[in-house]
Amino acid sequence: MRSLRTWLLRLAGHFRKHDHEAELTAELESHVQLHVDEAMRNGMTPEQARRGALLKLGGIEQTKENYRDQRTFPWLESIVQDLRLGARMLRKNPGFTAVAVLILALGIGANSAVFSIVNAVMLRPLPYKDSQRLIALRSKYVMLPDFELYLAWPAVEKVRKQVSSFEQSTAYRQASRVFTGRGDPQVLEVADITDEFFDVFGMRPVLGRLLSDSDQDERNGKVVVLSEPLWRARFAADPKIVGQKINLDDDAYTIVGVAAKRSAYPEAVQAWTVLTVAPDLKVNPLSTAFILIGKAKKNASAEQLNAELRAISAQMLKEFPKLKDGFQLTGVPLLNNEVADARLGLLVLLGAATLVFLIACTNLSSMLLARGWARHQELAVRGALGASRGRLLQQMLVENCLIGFLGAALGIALALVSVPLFRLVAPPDTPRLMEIRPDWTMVAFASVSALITAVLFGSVPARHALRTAVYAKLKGGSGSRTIGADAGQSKMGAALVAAEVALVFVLLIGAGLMLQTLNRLLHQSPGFRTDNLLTFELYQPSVQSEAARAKSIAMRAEQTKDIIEQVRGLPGIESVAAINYALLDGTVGIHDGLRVEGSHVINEEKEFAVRARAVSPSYFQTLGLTLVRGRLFTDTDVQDSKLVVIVNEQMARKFWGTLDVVGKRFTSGPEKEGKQPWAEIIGVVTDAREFLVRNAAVEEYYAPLYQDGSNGVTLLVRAAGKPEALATTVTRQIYRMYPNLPITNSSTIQRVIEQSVGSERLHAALLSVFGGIGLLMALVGTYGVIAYAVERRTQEIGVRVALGASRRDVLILVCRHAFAPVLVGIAVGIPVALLAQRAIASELYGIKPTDALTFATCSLLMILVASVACWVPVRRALHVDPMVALRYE
Amino acid sequence: MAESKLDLLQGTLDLMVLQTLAAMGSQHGYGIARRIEQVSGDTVLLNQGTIYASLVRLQQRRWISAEWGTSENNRKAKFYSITKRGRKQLSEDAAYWQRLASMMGRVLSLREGGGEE
Repeated sequence: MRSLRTWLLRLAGHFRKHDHEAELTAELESHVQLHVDEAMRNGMTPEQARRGALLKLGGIEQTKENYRDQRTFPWLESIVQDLRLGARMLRKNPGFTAVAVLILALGIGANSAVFSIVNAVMLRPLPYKDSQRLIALRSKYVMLPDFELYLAWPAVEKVRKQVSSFEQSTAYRQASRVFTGRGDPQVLEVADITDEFFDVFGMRPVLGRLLSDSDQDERNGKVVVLSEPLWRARFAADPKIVGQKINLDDDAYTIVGVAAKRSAYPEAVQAWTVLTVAPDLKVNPLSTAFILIGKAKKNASAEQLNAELRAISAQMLKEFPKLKDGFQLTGVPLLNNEVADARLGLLVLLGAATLVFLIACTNLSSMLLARGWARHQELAVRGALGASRGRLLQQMLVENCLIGFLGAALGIALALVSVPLFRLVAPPDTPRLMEIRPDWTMVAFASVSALITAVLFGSVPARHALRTAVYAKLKGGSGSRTIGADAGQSKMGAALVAAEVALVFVLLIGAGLMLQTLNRLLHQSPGFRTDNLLTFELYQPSVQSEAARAKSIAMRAEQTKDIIEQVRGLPGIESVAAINYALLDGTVGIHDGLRVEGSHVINEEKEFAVRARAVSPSYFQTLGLTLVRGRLFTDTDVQDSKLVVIVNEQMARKFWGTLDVVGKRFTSGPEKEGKQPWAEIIGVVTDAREFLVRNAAVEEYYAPLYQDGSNGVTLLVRAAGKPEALATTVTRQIYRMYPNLPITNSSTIQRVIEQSVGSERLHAALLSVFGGIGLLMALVGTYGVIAYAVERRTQEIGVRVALGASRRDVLILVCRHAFAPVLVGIAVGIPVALLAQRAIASELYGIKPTDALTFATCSLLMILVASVACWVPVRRALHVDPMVALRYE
Repeated sequence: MAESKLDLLQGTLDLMVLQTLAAMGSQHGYGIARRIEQVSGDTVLLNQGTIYASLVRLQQRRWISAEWGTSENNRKAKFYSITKRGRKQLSEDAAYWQRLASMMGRVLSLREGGGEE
């Protein structure tokens, strides 16, 4: 306690200095006076007495110094002094200060912005209650080993009843429902939930109430909870919405409340209703439509949970033999689950931003190095006046910290602007996109980065400056112009340039590879004509029961045929077709359990999973696929006639080893009433990439759309000319025919392709921006170091010229010293880049991470930039007048 | 080594100032310095100025208090007096130094004598 008080008093001593000083002066003067009085009493003269008194006192100033050292904290004084001095020095060199601060700001800004994004997506806990205990379950089936699927209802029931590691669990199914009755029909994302749902996530209502267990009994009528964004957008935040009814898929639902946006799960869902599971679905182990989230008990262990899941998997295998040893349940923490896809991309981004930061630091280091030399005289004089080495170092560190502080402030401002900008350009399926925003951790991160830079990267040039200043002091003279003196400094400068070049090189390679990837993806032909092709997704309500199924298929077939007819008749339309899945956006149907007949290359007992699409007869013509065997669909291939299909070349070759497969058959579904349904091949077409532009074509077959019962229909319209203008005409036509049919996603194939490469585009753009910044910094840094090196050696060059060196000799001398570190940097950068590019290898397309052309181009680019940086200093070196140089002091 | 010697010096100086004030009552800086010089014979006080750093230290620890007043010769001076805390500290420190001195005395006489006292 005593020392705390002392400490506080000493701190307080910094304030009201003026008063303290005045009092001390008075006290010391009185001391001297008393001494003088006594001395004079003993017979001395006033002057003798005074001199004796001052001598005995030990000097007034010295006493005052000792007094002050005790009364305050001397080191605090020195820091304040250094701050003032540092600020003055920075003001006197505005050019240097501006460049240094800007470079640091770019490095810190980029790094902090990316950190903020990574923090929001990967590090911050999800905004749900006890989010770290939430586990999402997935199931794996042996038939589809590459996919992690949701759960089938039997698994859901078993898990909810038996897994004791969960203190709570809930399940939901996501569905799209058409919301009609208030203006334009809109397709809503709806979650059908079981009990305990809102509890598990800690969701709260912002109006009315959420669904409770009593709502599970639907005899009281259907109820729905709206999401806050939907309530604001479609219902104008009407406070009296509770109790009103809306229509979803032509069923009336009563609104009981609005869920607050904050903990809403899933993020994109617009309404929550009660889950009802059809009886046949309850016992179907293959219909994986349900998402199960469990909240683990506080002290539950992962091993225990896995053991319980394994036990349930075993039960499933026993109960449902058709799962055939291939069923597994796994649990993943919800956070990992949600961000898994984005993880790689974000880490690549973080790596790139760190590189930019390091480049900025190296750059700053080399700038400080150059400036340190310019201050030799000042440092030498201060040292001679009694400043200790530590004191001089402290002053330079404080100055660096000032630059660091300014750089951090500007960098934070840059980051605050960039993060919302990123949110705008990021692909819309980025997880937790809405949670990305700058916060206090970013400011802390930026401050720490600035501190590290200032202290770590600033101390090395500072110590170096001191060392050579001391040397200069010993050698005498106003500065060190001797040739050997700064050998160390030039080595350090060269090392910094090499390091910077290496770092920039790695960034450039990454940017180059990503840009080429993007280019190749955008120009990858999907195997069909993509020009002037419009797509419209037409929503179809899902079929609830088997009985209504047949009738609904017939109705939809009529509807689709009708639309195709009418749209075909519009002016400017070349052809129209329909397909059950959208093109090039990563959706497709999979038919598993397929067995082939009549094949010499494939075992007929073996089962396969094959991609399948249902298309209208005009599909192949609209897309421009070529028929190589057999015939296309006609209008007679409708629901009741036998199932005919068209396969692509890949499928023909894989399963039958030849293209002549017309007439061959494969199973088209499970046995029904003892009869095995077969599909007969009537034609073979060329391969096309309909799934994603990135993925090569695989074996696939086409079934007639009018026999298909899947939920979606995408209309494909080939326009004769510019497609955009026709989009409205088509939409209006469809609306005229079927006013209750919502059209989602009207677009052109070109735009769909561009959207599908959204994340590659983002990476290419960001890496390019970072690469550009890095290149610019390398330019400035290299220029600085080389210009300073040339100036330092002006005298040496003068001597050489006077001794007979030609201009060419001087040129070689300077260039050798300028380009040596650049070449070393590239040489070091190549293996580092090779290692680093492994990280993005999975993102690349059509280009290897070791692409020689990219490496060569980037090397040349670095050399070019170095040449530009050397241009001015080299010219200056060539024009050195030996007479002036030798006299140069 | 130099630093610890300084600390020791500071510590003993502080003690001497306290002792002086306890014995002499209220005194100004010059008077304290003169007294210490007389008693210790110029060995402890390097110069009179060091007393002021010591006085600040003692004030920060609230062992002495200060007040402006007039001396016998009508000179204005700042007078220091020992506080109750100071007296307590003084008696503790004095006891400590006594123990230390007698123990050192026994140890040192042991070595010279070569045997038990």
